[in-house]
Amino acid sequence: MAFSPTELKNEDLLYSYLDEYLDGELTPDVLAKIEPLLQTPEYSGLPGRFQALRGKLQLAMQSYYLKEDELSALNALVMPPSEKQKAEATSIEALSRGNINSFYRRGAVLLLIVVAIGASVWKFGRTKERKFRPLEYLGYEALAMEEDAQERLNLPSHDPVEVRQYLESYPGLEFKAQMLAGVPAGWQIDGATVIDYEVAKVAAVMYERGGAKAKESFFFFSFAGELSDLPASEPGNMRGLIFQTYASNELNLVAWQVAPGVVALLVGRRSAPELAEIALASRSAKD
Amino acid sequence: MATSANQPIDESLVNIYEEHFLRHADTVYRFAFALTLSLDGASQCVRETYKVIAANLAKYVDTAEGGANSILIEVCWRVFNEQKSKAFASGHSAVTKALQPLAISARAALVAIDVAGLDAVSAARVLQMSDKDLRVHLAHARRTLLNGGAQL
Repeated sequence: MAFSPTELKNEDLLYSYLDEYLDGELTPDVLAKIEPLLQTPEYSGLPGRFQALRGKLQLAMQSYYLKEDELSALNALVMPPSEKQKAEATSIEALSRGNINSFYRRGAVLLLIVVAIGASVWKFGRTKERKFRPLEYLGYEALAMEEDAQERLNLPSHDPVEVRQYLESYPGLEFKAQMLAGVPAGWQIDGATVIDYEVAKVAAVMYERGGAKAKESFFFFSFAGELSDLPASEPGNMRGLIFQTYASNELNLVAWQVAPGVVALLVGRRSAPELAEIALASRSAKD
Repeated sequence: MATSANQPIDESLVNIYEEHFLRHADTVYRFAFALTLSLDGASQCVRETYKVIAANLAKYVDTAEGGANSILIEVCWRVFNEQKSKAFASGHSAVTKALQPLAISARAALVAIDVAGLDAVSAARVLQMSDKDLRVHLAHARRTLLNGGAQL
């Protein structure tokens, strides 16, 4: 027999449908039972309290993750280490050839870009505006900061308070620079910087975890604009967080409207859903 | 399919395993931790789960994309129940303290939905509960955490 939610006792109905209530996904009959309950003193504020608790639970659970050797052991269940070594040796060889080629290709592309920019400036003067392309610029920036954070971070710091003060007091920013309100356990702030592209300024905060051998980073960028300014992408909705995802060969990018007139972009090697979870947990912690 | 040293490895199945199943390993670990409240217990559970997955990859070819998370939680839940007699030493973390008062079914419902991201219908199916039982367990878990002042 099909289950009818109204079979549940009022409290079970209320507590078990809280996430659907927050996402606006309740059927009319369930909503009609829940809303009167939420008007009572006993349950007023319950959705907000649940949202905050769920954010904390998600953030706390993120400190539980498998170590590299455990992941390798899982990987080895389908590909014995000897086979994997053989496959990796082949792809490393191909990659080395590719890296050398792409080094010269990148150099040639950079040279072309410089020449093109020079030609544009010469032809059009400074009246023609460059367009800020956040995905392209910040994807590159993330890779560059991964390579050499110390060179690119104006404020290398593990102190979130210090980073917040730096961003809040940075002169000439036309938007309120953002940082994550909460970060999964195991991760720490590595520093911040403001990147000036002339056509736009971007606040960047770097997060990292792991020791020298297994260091992993992700980047939180914020800049003035609207999510709709970014290239079209399949929108995601994770428990009320509307976001757009993009991917390059190496990185995943998750963008969302973090505040009116401010777009946030999380960039990292984690999967897009994992980055979205980080964004969601931060939003819940802020709430 | 897990292979011996002499069997050829089907690369398409390896790709499915790596692209669709391995990426959820941390989620499975968190689910297993919620059940066992033990780091060792969770690791063992995850290993056994992935052994089952690796041994049956051909079965999941059509459902892996988009369904891997549910499949993993389902197998993990089954593996856990088969090993329930094993005792694991619990820790004293905030998560352990918050989840310990809950019955296993309540913990499973809570973490499957609020951490692993399954919807209620999928969670009921993979946890082999009726829709109603799932909702009752979920409500109990959320109510206990909220009213018990869980310090997370």
